[in-house]
Amino acid sequence: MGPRPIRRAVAVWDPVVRLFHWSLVGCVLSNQFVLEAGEPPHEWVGYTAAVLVALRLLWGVVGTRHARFADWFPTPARLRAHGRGWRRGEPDGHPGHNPVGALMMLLLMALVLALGLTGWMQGTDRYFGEAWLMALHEWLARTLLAAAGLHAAAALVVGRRERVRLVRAMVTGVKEYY
Amino acid sequence: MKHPAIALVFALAAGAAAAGPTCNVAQDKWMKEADFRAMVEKQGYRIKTFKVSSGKCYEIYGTDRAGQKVEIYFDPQTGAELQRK
Repeated sequence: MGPRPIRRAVAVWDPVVRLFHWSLVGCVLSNQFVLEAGEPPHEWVGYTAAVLVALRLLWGVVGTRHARFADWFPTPARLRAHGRGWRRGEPDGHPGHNPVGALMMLLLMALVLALGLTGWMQGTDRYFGEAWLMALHEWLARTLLAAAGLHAAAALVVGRRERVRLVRAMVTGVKEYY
Repeated sequence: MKHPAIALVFALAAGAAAAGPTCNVAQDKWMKEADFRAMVEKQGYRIKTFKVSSGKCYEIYGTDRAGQKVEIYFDPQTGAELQRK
């Protein structure tokens, strides 16, 4: 294999994206592991997470370049092209989310919204204490945690493969290649 | 940099309290569910959902006499009320 082309550091994630990301991490981890389910703090954190996702969706329309859906929405054509490149071992050409990562973004955000909705429903007279709803909420939470774990693992694996510091990029906003 | 973060997550997971009280009663000493339900309903509650909580107590979701939503944990042997939310 020849020498890799030297790629320069690129600023990809604006402060809104980064703040959203780590705030959401904080919400998910504290609701899963620290705050007791059903108590008011758990509810506030859950609603905060849902509002964060709503703001992120808005930012996907009006935000900076790589924050916008137009930049990363995983259309079938983008997914196919990405799959071909991956099989050939080509370096990924997306400075922002790659299409598979983008699918994960959508899944994670959908799960957070679904958790907010099923959590809110449990406080209504009609759905209070519904066993199926509690089971669904717990299933969504476990799925979210598993998906977030997969997302974090993928950031490490893909970062190594592409020789880019992906975790650091979500802190500094800059993708540094090495 | 990543390893302390991972360690923190596991520490939090280990330290997370199970929701509600814990009941250390052998299962063969538990009240029959039907008897328990009858007892609770006699106290004026309407039971919507009965379950064994993660802390192995009896737990009901329902309404009290005034129609207010209640979530109550009970000792599965004595039927004594332990905690309500």
